Amino acid sequence: MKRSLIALGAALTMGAALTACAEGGDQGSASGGGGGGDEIVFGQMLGVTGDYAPWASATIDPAQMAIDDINAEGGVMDTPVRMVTEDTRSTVDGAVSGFSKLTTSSGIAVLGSLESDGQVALFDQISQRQVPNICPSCGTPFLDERGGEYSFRITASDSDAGLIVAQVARDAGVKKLGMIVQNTEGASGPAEVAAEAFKRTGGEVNMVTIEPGASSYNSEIAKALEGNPDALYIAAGTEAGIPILREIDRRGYDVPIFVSPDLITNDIAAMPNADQLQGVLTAFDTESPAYKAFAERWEAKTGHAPEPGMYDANNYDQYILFALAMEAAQSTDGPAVAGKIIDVASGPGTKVYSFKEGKEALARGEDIDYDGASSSLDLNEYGNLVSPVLSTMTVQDGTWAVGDSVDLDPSLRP
Amino acid sequence: MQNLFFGLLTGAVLAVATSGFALLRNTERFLHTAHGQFMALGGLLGLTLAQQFGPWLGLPAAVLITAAIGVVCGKLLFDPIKAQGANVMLFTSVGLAFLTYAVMLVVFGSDIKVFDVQLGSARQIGPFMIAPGEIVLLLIAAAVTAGLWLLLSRSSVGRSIRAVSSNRELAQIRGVPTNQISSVVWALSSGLAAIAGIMMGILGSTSAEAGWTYILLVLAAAVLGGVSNILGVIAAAMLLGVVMDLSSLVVDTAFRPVIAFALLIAVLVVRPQGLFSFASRKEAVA
Amino acid sequence: MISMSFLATVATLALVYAMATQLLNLEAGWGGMWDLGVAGLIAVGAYSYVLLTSAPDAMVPGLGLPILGGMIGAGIITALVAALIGWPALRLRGEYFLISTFAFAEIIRQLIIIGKDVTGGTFGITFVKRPFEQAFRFDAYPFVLLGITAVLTVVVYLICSRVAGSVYGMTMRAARDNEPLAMATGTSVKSLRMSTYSFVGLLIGIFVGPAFVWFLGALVPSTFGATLTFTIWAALVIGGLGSRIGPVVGALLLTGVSEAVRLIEVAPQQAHLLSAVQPALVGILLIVVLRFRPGGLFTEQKSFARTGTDVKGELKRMRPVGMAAVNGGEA
Repeated sequence: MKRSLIALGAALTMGAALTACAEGGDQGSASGGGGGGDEIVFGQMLGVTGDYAPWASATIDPAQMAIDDINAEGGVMDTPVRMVTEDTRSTVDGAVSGFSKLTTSSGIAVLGSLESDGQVALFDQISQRQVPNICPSCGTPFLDERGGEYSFRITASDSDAGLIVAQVARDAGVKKLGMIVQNTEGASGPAEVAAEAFKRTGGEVNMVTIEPGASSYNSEIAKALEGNPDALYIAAGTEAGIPILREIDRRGYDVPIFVSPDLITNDIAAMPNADQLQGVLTAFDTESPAYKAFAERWEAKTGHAPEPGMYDANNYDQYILFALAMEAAQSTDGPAVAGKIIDVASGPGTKVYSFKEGKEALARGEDIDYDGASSSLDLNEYGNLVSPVLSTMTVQDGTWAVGDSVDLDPSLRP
Repeated sequence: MQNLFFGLLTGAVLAVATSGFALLRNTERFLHTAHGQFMALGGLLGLTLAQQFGPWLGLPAAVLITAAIGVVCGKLLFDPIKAQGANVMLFTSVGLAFLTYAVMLVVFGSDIKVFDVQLGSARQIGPFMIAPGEIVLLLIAAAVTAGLWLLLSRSSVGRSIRAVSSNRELAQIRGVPTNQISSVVWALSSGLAAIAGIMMGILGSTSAEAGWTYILLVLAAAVLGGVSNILGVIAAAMLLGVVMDLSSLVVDTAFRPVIAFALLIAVLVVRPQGLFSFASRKEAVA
Repeated sequence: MISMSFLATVATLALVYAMATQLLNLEAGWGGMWDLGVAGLIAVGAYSYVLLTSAPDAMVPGLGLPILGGMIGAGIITALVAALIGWPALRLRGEYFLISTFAFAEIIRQLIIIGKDVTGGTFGITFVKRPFEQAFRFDAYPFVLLGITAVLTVVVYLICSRVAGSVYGMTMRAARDNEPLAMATGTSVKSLRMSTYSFVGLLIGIFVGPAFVWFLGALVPSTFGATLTFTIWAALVIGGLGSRIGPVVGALLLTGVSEAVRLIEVAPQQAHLLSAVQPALVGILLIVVLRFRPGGLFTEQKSFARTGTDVKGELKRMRPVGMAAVNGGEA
């Protein structure tokens, strides 16, 4: 018993001592981290393993391209940039621990690439530590009105992604919509918004949920198609999406199929029944010089065009934005950089399409408006895309092609 | 009715996987948690080799390689600790599962991969809409399990395996080369895992992450089937597949995993030794 | 460059695992109940705690209880759930008990997802309030949380230690090693196991659930899958099933090694190679420890030798509830 009391006493003392020294503790690395004089550290955190693993290479490779582009111009404020990557293992505890390491050990100045659940879990800590942070692929409605200070995102919100599906279905004359929805946050978010909105237009929805990782989905597909709906909406990732589409093809179900953004990838476009598919999301503006430059290099590197469902162009843009914001602020200090992100991403200002152009314009004392590879990147005060270019996409000749752009019908908002 | 066919297909593939698992359980007497990872390994190997050398060469090669890996693991990792008992072997298998997962990550990356194999489009056959490729898979699964059963019941190797299953010490006394039999069982089990993994991959997709999900269903089917009889395990797997697919007719599909596991628990409570086991109830009840 | 703050964060996670591992040790190591469903009980503890303490006007509304109330409430709820699971599951032995606890854990996780109106479903719950958070600067807080978690861990250690050394504990281990004999001496093994299982549930709800929640800051159902259970088991086996300090050491070692891997910096293209290192290390550790020290780093024998209790407990001789079934009927 005595030993135990000693142990308890030791723990309490340690706790008190730690608290005391904590006051003096990490004073240095609070804000302004990463400006170590001879290099600037950019942080990247993503699920390299686990549920988000399929997106890993489409996240890491474009990010590296951005860093290379930045360093080709001598870096930011003529200081080279180095990227440190941490794996969240697609878990919240992985994100917490990775974040701690990046902010305290690695001294990052900015953080990118994080997925939705890590983003939400770390939201408070991100603003406390004053780390500018951009999310290239989070659709979570959580960020609809909370971002803009330190957190920004450069993809459309799930709320919009869901509404737009309801709109397109309604406008196509669909009265009965079958839905196959994956039981994960990224898929069920837009799907629920879409279902609510579609019902409000007077349509009928038959929703069926699936688990990713099952070996077959035949019975769920059959159930979703009960009652002969006019169209089907599939909200899932490629892990489930591919078997589902293959099974639909095998059975010969010939309905128009709307797909969620995660399915707008080359593997899906290669499916034999891809001509039934239609997606709606923030499409890449294929006319933009920034997109063209990126697409050319991406094609050279991977052998295929950028895929909106993999968010590759978004991953490239985020780091260019960080670098330009730093140049504009002439500092790596968290609040200063964060304050400049909306500025350099949105008008008014000289339009620039690359880091090189942006740096040169800033050096001339101009305000800039960086239009990136993924979109014009104009941000509103909540750090969300002002007018995400929403377009329908269909598969032509085995690749996804951008169709008409769609403006969100405000009457669909709840 | 259509759902019945779906269930048979799922069940058949699960049966192939679970019979391999049950073989190890019966003869080596432990739950081989890494079995799921071996299935994923077989799938990934099969896909890569098929891409390089074509399916007719690549797929069998993948099965053989996985079988060989199984034998090596058995000899190096599990034989030395056999005396320590089932618990140590179970957790060594968990360790092997983590290790195999890591190796797959390094070699194959973490992307989802899709087989090039097409199954054709469905035609009306009787009350079902079936694709020709699905029939082929079903036949292969049936052939494999039938082959296994024949091996076990008719051949001398099979007799030796069954001798070791029922009483290892006695078999040894009787002159059965237990070490060799161990290797045979490891080869068979891992080969079956690979076949099942390839079939799962063809039906859907495969990836390094998939192993963790496979083991859940295999464990469920193995326990439902009970110890001591391969046929029992095969029947349990088929039943599980059919029940899971038929249940979606009755309840919301969100509840499907709950149904599967609740069924498992219900069966265990009522008939703890498994549905098809001939082991006595006493062994299974506390 | 290792920062104190990062170390503190890793240590906090390690201690949460240490508590979970000790409690698993109580039911599995000493009680002989091989539970593959700990993740489910931790999920119940975590979600109960958050739902009891969240403000009524939060995104996912709760009852707004104070922290201590939440901890106790979570404990009671988890104990009840454990009792509910134990009632059918404890009728089974060995691998059957294993599978049914595994199945229950999956069911719990699925129910959390299905019950999205209450639990936030797959979106989960965010904005978790942590104890004393307002009183400290944000960069000091990791150390405060570490201190709190350390105190909780010591409390759990003391409780487990007392149970182990008590008559109750000895009866448990006796029942584990030789059930017929224990029954012959008048022990009701079934109720012994039920009370142990519920007790473990209670402690998980009071300590592990809340501490994990404070560390994470957000709750999503995917955190509580099979991987969590396997990790805790790995820590237990490596540390030493049935010993007193073993589970703590195992958890600290495993978590330390897993997270220390982050300190190795590689180019982004090699990130997936680095990510493979963590499961590889866990796997190799398990395999090696079991090969050369199957009792774990700290064996039960040594753990109890000092107190003079003569309980044989090396892993190979332990009979968890009914491994007899797997061994083909040998008693």
